[in-house]
Formats: sequence, structure tokens, C-alpha cells
Amino acid sequence: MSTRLGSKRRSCGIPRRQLGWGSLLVAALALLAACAGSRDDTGSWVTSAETAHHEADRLLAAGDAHGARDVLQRLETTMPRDANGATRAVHADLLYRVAELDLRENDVKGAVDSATRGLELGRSNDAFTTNLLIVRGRAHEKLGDAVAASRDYHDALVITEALLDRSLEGNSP
Amino acid sequence: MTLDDEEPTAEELEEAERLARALERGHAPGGAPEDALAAAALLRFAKDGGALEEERGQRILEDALAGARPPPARPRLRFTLLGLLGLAAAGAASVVLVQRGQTPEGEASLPAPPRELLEAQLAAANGPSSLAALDDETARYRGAVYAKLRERYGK
Repeated sequence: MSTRLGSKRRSCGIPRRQLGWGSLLVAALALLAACAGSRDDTGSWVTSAETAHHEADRLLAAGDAHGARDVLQRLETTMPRDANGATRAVHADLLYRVAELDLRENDVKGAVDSATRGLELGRSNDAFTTNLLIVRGRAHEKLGDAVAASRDYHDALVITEALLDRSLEGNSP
Repeated sequence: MTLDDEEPTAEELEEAERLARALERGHAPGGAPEDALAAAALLRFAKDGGALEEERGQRILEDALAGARPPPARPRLRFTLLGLLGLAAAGAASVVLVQRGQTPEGEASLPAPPRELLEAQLAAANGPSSLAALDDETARYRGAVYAKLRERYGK
């Protein structure tokens, strides 16, 4: 039997017309998901982290360093570990503060662990990475590991000097 | 073929069939014996002058139509292009998704750390000072960072 297929031409069993519109629809949905999903997630994390910092400030003012640390750590453990950009910076700052409170509570090993987790999110030439290196350097010092402390301080100085240079360039006429 | 034979051989039968078809349609698969074809055609021409009967013409037409292949359907260029455009858009969306996962988009938009924070960091990394000054300056910078992020993400 001979039939003319014409507009009913198929590709892998799917009519071409439907394949075309289907591909366009998938592309549009993917773009929407890429834009909306990323913004929503980051916005939520920013709000949650800011609230946690305010609560930690309140507890610290009341002399509850342990409670402050718990508030920050509870949020930190729910954050995605593979985030980039703003979410990573927010996460790194939370871990800096947790590490600093660990140190204040004489949980030196905990401070090393928290700071290391922060650095494992991905180092960047920003102030939050520098803070993590400094607080871990302090913890290494307290543990008597001068070499590890020196290495962290060195890395922190490299970033800070670069940021200072950039700051000076920005201020130059 | 010899006249003495009582039964034609298979080869003779096949040759006769080819000859009959050649007389009918002007050609035969595998070819027809030229001398026999010429003789038969002369005899037929002498009989009817080579006229094609209407019934025979119709039979030839039906035979030709039944054996003809349908012309290859031309692909609809419009739908092919639409499909390609859709696939290209889907590919572009994938690239955007991957790049969003790799580009530190937020870092570029973070406010630059103030000089006071950088100096506190230098002091903390250079000497055994307490982290109190670093904490204070970080808290100020944190406020600026969150203000910027609130502005950016509309929360």
C-alpha cells in the first residue's frame, strides 16, 4: 500500500510538528526553571541566614554563646554544599561564625572542622574565605600546629593584599 | 527449439514468455531474443498495423501504475526547521543551566569589603591579636552584604 506521509512525517515515531513545538516548550520551561529556581533558592537562603544571624546576635548579647552557635549550625547543616555565588558566600560566613564560636567555647577541634567545611565549599578571593583561613589558623595555633597555622595565615594575607590592592585601585583618581 | 520436441523445455518456456511480454510491452526483463522478436513483431504488424487495443492499453496502464513506486515524500522544511530551532533552544537552555551552576554570579555582586575589615584581617593574620576587632568589622560588612542581597533577590 502506498501512502503519502506529507505533514505527518515522523521522527522516531513522533510527528515532526509535535516534535518542534515540544522542543520549544521544553526549552522555555528549562529557561524558566533556571531563572526562577535559582533566584528563589538563593533568596530563601539569604533570608534564613540573616534571621539566624539576628537570633545569634540576640543570644550572644544574652550571654548564650552555645545557643548562638547551635542556631547558626542548625541552619548551616541544611544548606546545599554545592552552591556557588551568593549562597556559597552566605554559607561560608555562617561557618566562619560557627568556627569562631567553637573557638570561643574552647572547642578547638570543632573550630578546625567548621572552618575546613567552609573552605571546602570553594575558596574565593573574598573576605569570607579570608575569615575562614584566619579562624582556622588560630585553631591550629591552639592545637600547637604552627606549620598549618602559618600556611592558613599566609593564604589569608595573599587574599587580603589582593583585596587591598583592588580597593586602592578603586580609590585612585 | 526444435520441431521434433514433444514437450518444451523450461528454458524454452521462459524464452517464450519473455518474447510474449516483449511483444506486449515492447521490452522484457532479461531481454528477448532479437531475431524472434523482430519476426513476431512483423507478423503482428501485418495483422493489425501495430494498433493498440483499448483493453490492452488499459491493462498496460494498470500494470504500470501497480508497479510504480510512490514519489518520495518531500520533507516539510518548515517543521524540520521548527524542530531544529526547538532543539537549539533546548541546548541553549542546558548551557545556561550549566553556567549558572558554575559561575559565581553572586560574588561579583557582593559589595567590596571596607578598608577597616581588610586592616582587621591583616592584623589578625599577622599577629596574636584577639578576633574581636575582626568580628566587629565582619558584622558591619555582613550587614552591607545582606542589604545588597535583599535588594538583589527581593526578599
